[in-house]
Amino acid sequence: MHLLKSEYYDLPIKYDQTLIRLLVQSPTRMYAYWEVSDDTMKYFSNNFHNYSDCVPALKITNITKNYSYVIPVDPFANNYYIDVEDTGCDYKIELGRTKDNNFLNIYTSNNITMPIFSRTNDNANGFADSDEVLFGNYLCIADKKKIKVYTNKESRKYFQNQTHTDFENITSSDIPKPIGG
Amino acid sequence: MAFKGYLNLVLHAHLPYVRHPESEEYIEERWLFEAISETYIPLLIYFKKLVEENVQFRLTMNISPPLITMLKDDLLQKRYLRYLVERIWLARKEMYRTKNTNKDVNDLAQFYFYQFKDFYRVYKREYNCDLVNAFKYFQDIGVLEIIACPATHGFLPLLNVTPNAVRAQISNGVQVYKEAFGRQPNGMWLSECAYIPEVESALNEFGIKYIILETHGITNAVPTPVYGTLSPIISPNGVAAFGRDLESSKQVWSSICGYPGDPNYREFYKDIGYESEWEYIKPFVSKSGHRVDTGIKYHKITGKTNDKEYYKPDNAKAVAEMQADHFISSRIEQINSAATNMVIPPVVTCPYDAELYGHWWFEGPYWLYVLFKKIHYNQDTFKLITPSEYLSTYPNIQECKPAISTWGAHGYNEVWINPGNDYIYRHLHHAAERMTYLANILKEPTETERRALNQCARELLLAQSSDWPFIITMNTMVEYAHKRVKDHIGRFNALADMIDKKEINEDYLENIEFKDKIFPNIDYSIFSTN
Repeated sequence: MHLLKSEYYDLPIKYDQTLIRLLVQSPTRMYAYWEVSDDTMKYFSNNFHNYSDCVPALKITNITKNYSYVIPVDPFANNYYIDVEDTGCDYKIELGRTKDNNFLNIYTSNNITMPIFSRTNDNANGFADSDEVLFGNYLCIADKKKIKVYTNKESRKYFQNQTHTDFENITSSDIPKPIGG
Repeated sequence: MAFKGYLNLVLHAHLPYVRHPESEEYIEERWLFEAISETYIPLLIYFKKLVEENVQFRLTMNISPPLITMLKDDLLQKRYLRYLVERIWLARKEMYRTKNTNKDVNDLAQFYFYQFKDFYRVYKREYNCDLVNAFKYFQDIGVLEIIACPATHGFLPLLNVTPNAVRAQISNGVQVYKEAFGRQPNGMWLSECAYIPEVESALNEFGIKYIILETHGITNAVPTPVYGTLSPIISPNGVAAFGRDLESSKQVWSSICGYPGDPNYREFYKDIGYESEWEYIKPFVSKSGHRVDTGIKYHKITGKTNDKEYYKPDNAKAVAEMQADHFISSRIEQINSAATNMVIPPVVTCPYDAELYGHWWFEGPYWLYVLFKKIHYNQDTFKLITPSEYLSTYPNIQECKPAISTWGAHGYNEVWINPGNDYIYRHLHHAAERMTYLANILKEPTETERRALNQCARELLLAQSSDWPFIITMNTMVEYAHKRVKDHIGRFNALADMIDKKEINEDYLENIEFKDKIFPNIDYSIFSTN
């Protein structure tokens, strides 16, 4: 056997698939990542509206309490951190596009259960106290629910620029009207 | 004092799989060597001493599958012996160097010289380089209960998007356990104590009777357990759960008031590997030319000062003995108080990382030894017990649904998913789905395809190790962690592409099998869903 001493791999930038996945980070914060394949974009354009003319959006559904709201996402983002107020509930997220205040579903995530709040002392296992992970404070109002949305890009920018505290406030008029819920 | 309850001490021994046959320049293999010298061998020495002294003790231990595999690996055993011989030579050199300079330091150099020589004797002569078998012996004679762990210490709540990934982690963890210890495990240490209800079906399927949870996994259970963490609970699916006791945990773990921070204990961060002249220390540090720990440290913690005093082993031992007394008196008080309100004896569950004992807290193994002796001789209020013994003695326990929880900072998943490491998960999930697809369609593979599929399963499991996102968050060996994720996902994708195209490059496959030689008996079909 000829031993391969050096190997180098890059992670794929995309897998040419359409999906959205939802994961729990904490009782009040979930993480979603997504990808839309070229074929899906073409299908969408051929059957609904021009894909690029629609606003990318996420429709967040609290399954347990039966309400939903839609938030816009940056066209170049492929993952978001999303804060929710109702802990201990089941959630799902739909990836879609909005056009004329209509939300068009492209893919629906897995369901997750958000944990309930802990009564255990923080740092209980003795890990060194890492600084509270701070992200950009991107505050928006949607469907009268106060939520916070974080993106990787924003949070990294925050760390690089420690004097920066808040991101642009977005008012409810900027948010497409939610559908359903 | 009459008997009132139990103490259930649990040590979780785990290291990521850091075997690098392709090069000796990876300093990460030293994580294993340091843990062997500072934790595993000292623990075994004290277990043997306790048995010889007829001290009744019980301890629960988890030895993770990557650690089992590495401890049994010929190459790493040879490299560890060489590492140990180098320590002996370095300590000897230090004895000569310090002979006429400083008596305190010279005494310590001698202390290390004889300790390393003893470790060599224990490792090579007593246990024939197989420490897994050594731990097995103590389980077989009934003083240890060893429990299983998911295959590569995967963080199950974030892998559960593909349920088969969780099942494969648990199944392979149990398989490695059976091969190493020759029996079915009763308990499982869920990596990072990370619990979600969805893991229970696989736990049931593979015969796991109990798990250990972080405190709020019990205290937030539904309905609220009447005895808190002082009694196990049983889930509706029949999996028992013991919860970590907060009070005893803090006494040992706390970075502010915990036992390991005593000023008389050995200072971890001052090592001659960093402080000696480069030309002098060069032969004993990393092959890649980096300064690293040598295990020879001459100072004590002293206090919050850079001006550290010399370490005095006898003074440190005296402190460990006092702290053992303190721990026992705290448990007596706690158990006495709890027992007045309970109809069954309380059990205080104290889980710790095994590597805290010896590696981080140099005197930890001695503290444990003294603790067991003092519990045996000096009091009757509580006894040591393992979870299996407790469950068989007190089978009627409250049925509750445990709460989602981990033992990470803040109690949930923030350590393992945050903006520094979240990129990992889309690749892990994609690879798990692709593995499932391959396992479903290739029911009768050729021998080469079977090898490639098994190696894909190994690469996927290795990529799933919770250590990589943890290291990234802790900002320690970050580049190494990123590289490991890239390597395992990259190797998985390369092999999966070859399988898809039916063009398997056998030379490449053989190389990857040689490098990532974990789980020799893995069966890829565990990922199949039909």
